[in-house]
Amino acid sequence: MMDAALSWYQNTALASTVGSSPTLTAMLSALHALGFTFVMGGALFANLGRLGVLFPGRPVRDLTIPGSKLIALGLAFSLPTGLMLVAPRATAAGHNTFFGLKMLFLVLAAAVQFGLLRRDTRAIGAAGLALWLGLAAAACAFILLE
Amino acid sequence: MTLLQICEWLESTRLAELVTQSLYGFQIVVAVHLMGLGLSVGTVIWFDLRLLGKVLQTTPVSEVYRRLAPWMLAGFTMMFASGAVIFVGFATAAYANPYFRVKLAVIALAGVNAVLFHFFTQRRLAGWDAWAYPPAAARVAGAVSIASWIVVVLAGRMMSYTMF
Repeated sequence: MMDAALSWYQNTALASTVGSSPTLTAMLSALHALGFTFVMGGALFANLGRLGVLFPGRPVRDLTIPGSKLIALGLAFSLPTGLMLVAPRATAAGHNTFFGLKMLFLVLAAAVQFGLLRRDTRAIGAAGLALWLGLAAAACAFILLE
Repeated sequence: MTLLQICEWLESTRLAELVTQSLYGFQIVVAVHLMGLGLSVGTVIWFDLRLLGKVLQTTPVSEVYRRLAPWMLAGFTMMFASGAVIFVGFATAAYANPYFRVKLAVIALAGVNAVLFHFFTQRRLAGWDAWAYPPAAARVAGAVSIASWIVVVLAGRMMSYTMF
C-alpha cells in the first residue's frame, strides 16, 4: 500500500518537474534549509525556556508562544518544500532508515511542541529539545549518507 | 600570489585531503556546519526580534543579549570553523561560485551592521534598554541582521547545488 503510494507520487508530473530541474531543486532546498533554521531557532528558544536555561525567572509563556510560532513558520517553509524535494526519489526515501527516523522525529516533536503547548514543565522542555535535535541529526544523516 | 593560487594551495593541504578523501570527513563537517547554522542564526534572530520590539518587550535588551550571547557564540564558532574547513577542501570551486561570493558579501554586511550597532547605537543603550520598542537605529540593525542571515542561508544552500 505504502509502496504503491510512493511509486505513484514518484511518477507524478510534480516529481518529473522537480527531478529534471537542478535549479528548481536548489531553490526548493534553499527554502527547506531556511525553514530548518527557523525550526531550530524556535525549538531552542521554546525548550531552553521550558528548561529554565535561557531566561530564568521570566514567564515560560513569553518564550514558548513565540518559539512555537517560529517553529510553525519554519514548518510552513520546510514541509511543502520537503514534499516536493522528495518526490523524484520517493520510493528510495520510503525505504531509507534515516528518512524514516526523520519523519518519526518530526511527528513526535510537533506533537510534543504543539500538543503540550500549555504544559511548561522541564520534562516537556527536555523531551521537546531532544526530539527537535533528533530531527536535525536524522535530516543531516539522510542528506549526507543516502 | 593571487586569490586563485591561494585557493589552489589550500586544496593541496593535508586538511583538504582529509575533507575530500576520507570516508565520512566531508559528511561530518557539513553536519557540524548545519547544526552550527541552526544554533547561530536560530538564536541571533531572537536578539534581532527584540531589537524590532516583537518579543520579550518587558525584558531589557542588554539582558536578552547577555542570555543569548553564549549560544550565539557557540553557534557562530561551529559554523565558521566548519565552513572554513569545507572551503579548504573545495576552495577553487567555491572561488568561482557566484552564490559563494554573495554569501561572503552578505556575511560581511552582517558583520558591518553588528559593528555599527555596537559602536554607535549600543553606546546610548542605557537610555533605551528597557523600551518595548527600541529606537529606529536599533530596529534597522535588527531588520538588516535578519535579512542578511536569511540571504546567507539561501545562498549557502544554492551554492552547494551549483558547486559539486
